[in-house]
Amino acid sequence: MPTPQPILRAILAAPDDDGPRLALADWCEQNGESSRARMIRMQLELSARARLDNPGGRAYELATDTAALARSDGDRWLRFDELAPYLVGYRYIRGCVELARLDAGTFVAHAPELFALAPIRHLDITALGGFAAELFTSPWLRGIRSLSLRSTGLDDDGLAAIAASPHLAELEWLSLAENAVDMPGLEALAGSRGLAQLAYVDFFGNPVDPAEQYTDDQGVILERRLPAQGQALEARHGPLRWLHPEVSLIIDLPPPRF
Amino acid sequence: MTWLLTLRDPNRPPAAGTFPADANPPDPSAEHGSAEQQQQQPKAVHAYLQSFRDPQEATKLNTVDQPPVYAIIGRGFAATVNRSTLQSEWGRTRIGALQVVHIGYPDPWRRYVSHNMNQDVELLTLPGYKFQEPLDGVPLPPAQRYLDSKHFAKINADQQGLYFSEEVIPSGVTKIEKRDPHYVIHLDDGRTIVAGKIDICTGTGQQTLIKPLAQDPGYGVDMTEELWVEYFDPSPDKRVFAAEMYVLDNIRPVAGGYVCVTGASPAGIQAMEHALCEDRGGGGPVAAGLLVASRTMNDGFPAIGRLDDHAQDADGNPLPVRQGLARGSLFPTRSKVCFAEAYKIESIQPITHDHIAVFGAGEVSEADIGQTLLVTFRTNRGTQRLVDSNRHDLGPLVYGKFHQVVIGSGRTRGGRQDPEKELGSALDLVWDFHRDFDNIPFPDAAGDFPLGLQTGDGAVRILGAAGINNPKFLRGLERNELGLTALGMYERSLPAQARVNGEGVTLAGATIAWANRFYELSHFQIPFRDGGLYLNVNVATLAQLEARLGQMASETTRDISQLARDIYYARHERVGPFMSKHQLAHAAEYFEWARERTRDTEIRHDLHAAAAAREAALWTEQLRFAGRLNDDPWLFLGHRQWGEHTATFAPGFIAEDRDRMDSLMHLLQFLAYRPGTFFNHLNERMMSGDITPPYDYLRRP
Repeated sequence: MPTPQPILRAILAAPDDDGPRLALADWCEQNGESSRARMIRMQLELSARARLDNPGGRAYELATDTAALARSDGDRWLRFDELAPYLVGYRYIRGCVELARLDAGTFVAHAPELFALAPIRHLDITALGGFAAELFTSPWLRGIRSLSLRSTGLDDDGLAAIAASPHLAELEWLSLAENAVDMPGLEALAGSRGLAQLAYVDFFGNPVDPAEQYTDDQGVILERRLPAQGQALEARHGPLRWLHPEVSLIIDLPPPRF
Repeated sequence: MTWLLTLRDPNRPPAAGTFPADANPPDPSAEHGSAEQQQQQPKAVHAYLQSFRDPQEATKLNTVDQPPVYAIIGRGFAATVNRSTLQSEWGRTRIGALQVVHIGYPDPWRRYVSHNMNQDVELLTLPGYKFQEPLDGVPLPPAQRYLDSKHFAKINADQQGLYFSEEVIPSGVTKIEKRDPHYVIHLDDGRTIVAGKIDICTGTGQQTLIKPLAQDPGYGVDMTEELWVEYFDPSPDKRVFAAEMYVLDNIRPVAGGYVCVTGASPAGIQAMEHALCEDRGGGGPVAAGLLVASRTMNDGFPAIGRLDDHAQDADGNPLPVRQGLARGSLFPTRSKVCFAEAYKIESIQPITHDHIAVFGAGEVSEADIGQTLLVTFRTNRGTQRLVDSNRHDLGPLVYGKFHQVVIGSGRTRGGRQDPEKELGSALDLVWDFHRDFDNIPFPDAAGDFPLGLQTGDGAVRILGAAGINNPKFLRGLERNELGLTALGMYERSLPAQARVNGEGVTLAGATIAWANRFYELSHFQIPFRDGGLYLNVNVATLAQLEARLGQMASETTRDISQLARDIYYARHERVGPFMSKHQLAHAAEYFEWARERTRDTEIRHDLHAAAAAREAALWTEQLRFAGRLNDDPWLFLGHRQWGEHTATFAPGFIAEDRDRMDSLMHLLQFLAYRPGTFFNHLNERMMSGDITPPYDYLRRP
């Protein structure tokens, strides 16, 4: 049974508000989807706790229990949300699918349907497949906060297209890991004026990696050093926040995207 | 402490035209940072690694004549756990007819100076080991609670001795090459070995170089070439050491001398501890030591508390029992030691006649030449402080004279493009085909976190800390709303002693055993015939606890699922492991009590931050009480845990609780667990996971 349109529209119109999502939980409860209702409520509570300085021991229980619920019932909910035909992966956040994993071609072809069904704010693109230009100029990227392009074959031209996109103003987290990005692409990224919120970029496994490097002992970062490529970029473009991830432990890299 | 008060005098700073400008400082770009020099660094590192080689070990020639082989790279505990747990049915199938060879330098733990391991034996009893620390369920007194490093090394050596029929190649590995359908392993000396299967169990790697780079002279330590030669020299009689080498058992601290240790890490503090002890390799104790942290000293004092007696808080109190790093400003406790924070070493130079001319004979003399080193410091990000055991601020640190300098620079992480990138690490070895690797999934429903890396065909695996701390591995993980990966969530469930940021012995041992499906042995003896379960109650996953306790469902009045959760989440709040059934019961009861206390505050529809904060505060209170779960009297009395509690929380409850704790009758409250049945099954072996499988490979030819 699909989500009633009034509730869905309220969620899409105000994705940061808890109210419409709690209304969805109530509706699920009344319509025999008690596990989904429980999931929504627990994830909202978890999200609220995660914003606190001390989330408390209950946050661990909530995180464990919601992960278990998603594993057992997630695929069923996805069909319930009518998203299953489009996605090869997903993640429920605050009770709704906010992370969508799909290839660029599917995104380009079905973005209007996807964004009418879920408050998607995080994208994992699994393959570009010749749709890079259309993907990065898509107005549906507006509102996307994190984007993974790991192992998609992205090159300098693709990164230049990202840098030129007028629709990624809310992007905070970007994974370019294991691609073919070199200095021309980095120059384009560093010179971009459209990525004002960008705080982290993962360059692991590319021909160049300009981000801060570390020495650590028992996982605690002792020293930081910006490599020559990073220094050169900042010399030309000024301070670049995404070259300096704010982490203190090695295992905190990459930093959280949600 | 005149050695610092005179040489650090800020009124006599180095000035242009005098020292150090006239002391012929090395040109970093010319002498240390050239591309040619950097390309030679791996050789230098290997030379440095020679210091870890056991001089008694014969250099065996590779007698493998029937390639391909099953190669296990690494000879430390992770490799040993791997070989031991490969005796699972799955592991035997994996090995098949391949000959197993072990490649690597001997376990460095054999050479480290004797020290306690910072962790209780319940967390260091490794899966598949025949030889374990005896456990009788009786908590040991503080001095014996932690396993000694030499004992740990002996246990590993004894376990390795079981493989008497398997080939050992004492060598480093420089590269692994994919050559379908096999892989070629390149050794230090140029030999190659063809392997059908490879398990890389090397840990996270050795300390890496700290030489200044041409493009970044502000990085690293500026030393004369003479001192770089000393740094890489495996000889114990020298002046400049890597931190890992300084704690080898043949290193002699200079008796009555001065030592400077950089690196605010447990390794650095242990190096200082080594220097302060008498009769260490025939040397020591030093007259004074300076610990230099590039940020703060707090990073060197994790929850484990083993080194806590080296620091005090601003009020002169010992550090409290805690879940994470020590907080607040720290001061040394030893009168011979000073802490310097937010400083880094700028340069290290041997004392010369030029220095005598600059400083005057009162501070340096002819006797210093060839003996002592002049170290200059620079400030780093943060608030600079130089403090002593009287909690006095000694003012700025500029330079000092030392007989020995220990450099704890840690391991370098970063981009492949840097010659130092992941040097000698597992990722570096397989870089040419690293894109073939993906995460090893947990083999059954007992866990939801990956266990390491493997190639698509499973032929090459990277296990233990080498795998789960690997940047490639970390890229393949999702994080939850708390910013934690599923593996990170599991690590947080371990007692705090075992949380070493993905590098702990306990975590490595468990993940390797699970990757090898060790607990799927079908021939475990009753009551351990629990396929897929790791029965160490301190390490088991929640699903494993539920399954194990579920087998006793008819034997206890408690809700088994809830009991498993109580134990699991109580474990989150403990610093040390459960060491006895009484502790376990005590902890479960406390957690249940605390849960009841906060149940009414559960947030439903009226969700907002203030309400969540209120409940979190209650949970904080609960966790403070749960801190009491470290309920062995030695821990909380010895570490003044009560001081932290009474200062902030519910003294009435604590007083009441202390009375209960002191009362033997209190234990009778656990009769609800029906110990006659429940505890007879939940026996002490669940504290250690000491499950001895059949060692039938002993019978192999």
